[in-house]
Amino acid sequence: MVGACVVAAVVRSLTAHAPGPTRTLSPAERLEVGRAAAALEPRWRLETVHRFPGDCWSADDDLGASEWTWVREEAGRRGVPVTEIFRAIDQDLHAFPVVPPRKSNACPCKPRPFYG
Amino acid sequence: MPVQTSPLLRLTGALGARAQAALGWLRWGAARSPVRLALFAAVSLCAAWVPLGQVGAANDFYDTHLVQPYEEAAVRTVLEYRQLPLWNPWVCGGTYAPGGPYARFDSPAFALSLAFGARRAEGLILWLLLLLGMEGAFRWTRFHTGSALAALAVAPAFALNGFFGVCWSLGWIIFVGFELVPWALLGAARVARGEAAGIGLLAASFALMLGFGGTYPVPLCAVACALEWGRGLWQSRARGRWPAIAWLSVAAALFTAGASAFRLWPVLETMGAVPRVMAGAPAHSLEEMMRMAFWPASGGGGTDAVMYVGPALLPLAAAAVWARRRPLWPVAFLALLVWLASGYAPRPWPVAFAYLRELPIFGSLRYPERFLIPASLFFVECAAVGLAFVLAVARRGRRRRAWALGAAGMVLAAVVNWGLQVKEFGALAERSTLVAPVPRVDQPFAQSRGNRWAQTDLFWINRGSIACGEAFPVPMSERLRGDAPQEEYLADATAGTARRVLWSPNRIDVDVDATRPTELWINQNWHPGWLANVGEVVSRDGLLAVKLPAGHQRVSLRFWPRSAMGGWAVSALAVCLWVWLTRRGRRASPGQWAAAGTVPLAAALLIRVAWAQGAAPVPIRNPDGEQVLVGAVPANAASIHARFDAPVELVAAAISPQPDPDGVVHLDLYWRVDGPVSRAVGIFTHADGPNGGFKTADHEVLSGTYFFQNAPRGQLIRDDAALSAHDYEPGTWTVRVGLWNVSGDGNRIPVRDGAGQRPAEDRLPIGTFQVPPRPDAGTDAGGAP
Repeated sequence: MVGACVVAAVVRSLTAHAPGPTRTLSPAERLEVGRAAAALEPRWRLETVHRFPGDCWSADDDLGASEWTWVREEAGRRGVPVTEIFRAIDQDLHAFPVVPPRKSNACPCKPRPFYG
Repeated sequence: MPVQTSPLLRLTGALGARAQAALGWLRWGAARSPVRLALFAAVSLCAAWVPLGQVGAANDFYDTHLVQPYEEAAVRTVLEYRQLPLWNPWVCGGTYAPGGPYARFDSPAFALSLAFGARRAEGLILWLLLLLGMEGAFRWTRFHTGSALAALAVAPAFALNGFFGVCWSLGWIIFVGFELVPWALLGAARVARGEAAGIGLLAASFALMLGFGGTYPVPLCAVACALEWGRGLWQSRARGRWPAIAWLSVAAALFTAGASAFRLWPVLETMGAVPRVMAGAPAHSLEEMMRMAFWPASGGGGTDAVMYVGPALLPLAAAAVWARRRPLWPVAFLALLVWLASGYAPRPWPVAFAYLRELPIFGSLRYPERFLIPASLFFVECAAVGLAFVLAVARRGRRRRAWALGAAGMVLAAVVNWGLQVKEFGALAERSTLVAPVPRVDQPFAQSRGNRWAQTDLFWINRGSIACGEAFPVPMSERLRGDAPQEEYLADATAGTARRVLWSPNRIDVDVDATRPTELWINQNWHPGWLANVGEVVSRDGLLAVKLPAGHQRVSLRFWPRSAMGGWAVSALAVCLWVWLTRRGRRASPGQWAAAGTVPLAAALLIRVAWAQGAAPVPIRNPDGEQVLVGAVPANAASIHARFDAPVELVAAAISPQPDPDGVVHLDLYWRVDGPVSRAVGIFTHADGPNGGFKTADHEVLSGTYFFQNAPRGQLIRDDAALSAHDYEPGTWTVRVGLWNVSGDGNRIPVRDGAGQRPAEDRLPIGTFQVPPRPDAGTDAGGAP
């Protein structure tokens, strides 16, 4: 009986399946997506400054949340995995000079002591 | 002449006889491990059915992206690079993997991750832990009640706790390590009764829990074990065995520490260097906790069912009132743990959770309601006592058949409870945020700026995420870059060239041609465990660097941390000693057990002395990146020298005269603490503006680093705060600060200014700032860039 349960659990685990998009961005699309994220970042940055004034890590972290939401929406719009959008952002950061308020780094982790 | 009986009595008698027979069979089955385990395996499988069907998809909840990369990175490190999972370059710019409290690869469950992949293994691990939790709860309950059938009936109630369904949906599988708590309690109970066999059980349970990760199971289990040990000690008081029990208890503590050293050492080293600061005063009313435990998830929202143990056991627990040996201990423990779980809820008596938070490690706990998990175990014991009592009367009391009917009804209620819990477990698991798994992209490793909210996604494109969302201040360099042209480079680009030859998590080879002495910089965090075959490994503001002489050389960096290696050696030694003493059986005296337990500890001390290597330090900084401890008050700060009715002085303050271009007003408060202060004391910061405008920047923790309670004594502490003033009314704003009890009575702490005067409402005015009129009243400063 235990053996049957083991088999059932393994089979169920191995057969679980969730198909997702497999299309990849073309180089031109990747450039376009990367530029779009770069254009949006100053607005995200300003919003985070007011949500977390004087708190460098929290502001960066909040920017990550804004970027994450946009990445998911953009991936959905374009029918590609989210990793394609992150690749586009990563390549853009490497390909173009990073002009403030945009940043290519992140403030060292200093989590807030309280989450309300 | 035959006795006339009513049809109802005849029916009761017949049913009672059948119930007696059925209970006999159930007793037989409960006492036999193969039968019992088969039943538990099936019930566990029913509960894990929904999770097992979800593992084809990825969990996209943000906490999953915090926890999952540790396991994925460990699997890749072992399978693809044939290395131990010691350094994780994909997280936070590179972290010491065993030192992270959320890593779970130091456990036997890692074998499943290697075999099936980290995500697919999660469902199997959950199922196995549910099974382990049921068997552990059974054994512990039977130990206390003596009834196998009662233990069988109630044990699933602990293992199927709704919390584990919540853990599944939120990607917190590390907290399912709580399933090992009953095994640890059984070990503690046996040690407290003078049984050496309990040592191995206790040590193994803690070692497995630690290896599986999570910040809560171990400390909360330690509390429950202390209670269990105290009960055992009390119940053994008449036997005159206290000296032997004392030696065995010492041995149990030493062997538990020794067996856990493989993980305990790295975690303590890491967390000791970078303490996790947790503020807030979480509170839960009794009604809320009742809803957590007994209310279905579908019946409401919020925290309903998050600790679900099912309502059908309540009658069983109530029956314990009539038991000959009333369950006073579990009731007392249950009450104590519920009291702790209520956190800072208002009540006439003291806050137990606040007292517990005064202890090391416990001060970093945020969620008091998790004490309901060990509490559920004592609730289960109460139910088992009630059922065991009825079962005993049904076997030996008067009117046995009627009692047998009652006992069968109670067993049926327990089985119904299994069904209720399985249903709720599935409902909670279905709350998972599931998305299609992302395809893997093979490209050379590099750091990206990353995104901690999607750290796992970045892992699949072989990018490290500098953006870091750990729960403690990770040692990180500000020099990490997400746009570096190459990951290994010379600090002075004119000094020569550097070319990556080999890259793996724990080893990096770089060919360097240098025309003069220079430094090779690696775009990862430094840790003292990094060694090089040439030159000297150094930290450059926390960045991994190697000082090199001029010339051509192949620099080979490898990661070899003392605490992981030493920890494994100590654990292996502890296990060997335990095996040796266990084989000696009763010839091993309690004193010998205790003496042997000191050997791993001595070995750890020896390794520590002989192998000089510590933890990566974390600079103590304000949230704005500035130093916390300063030598003197800067010139731009105004002297205040206000003293509070606590050993705290507000020495000076600096306020920016007007908002910066982003609309932020910066406040720097300079504090000095000279004596003991309650942890409850926090800072209020009020800004009073024109036309009754009122804003706050209250905070409980100085610089996001220290409570007043543990702030360095006698030093000048720069506490940074800020106000987002972009939408403030134009005009003059006055800033007033003070101290107050964040929890407890909520009162302000009386204060006197530098002239000895007490300001109104104990709000100390420290300066003003001017909000200029908006050039365009119609533009929202937070909108367009």
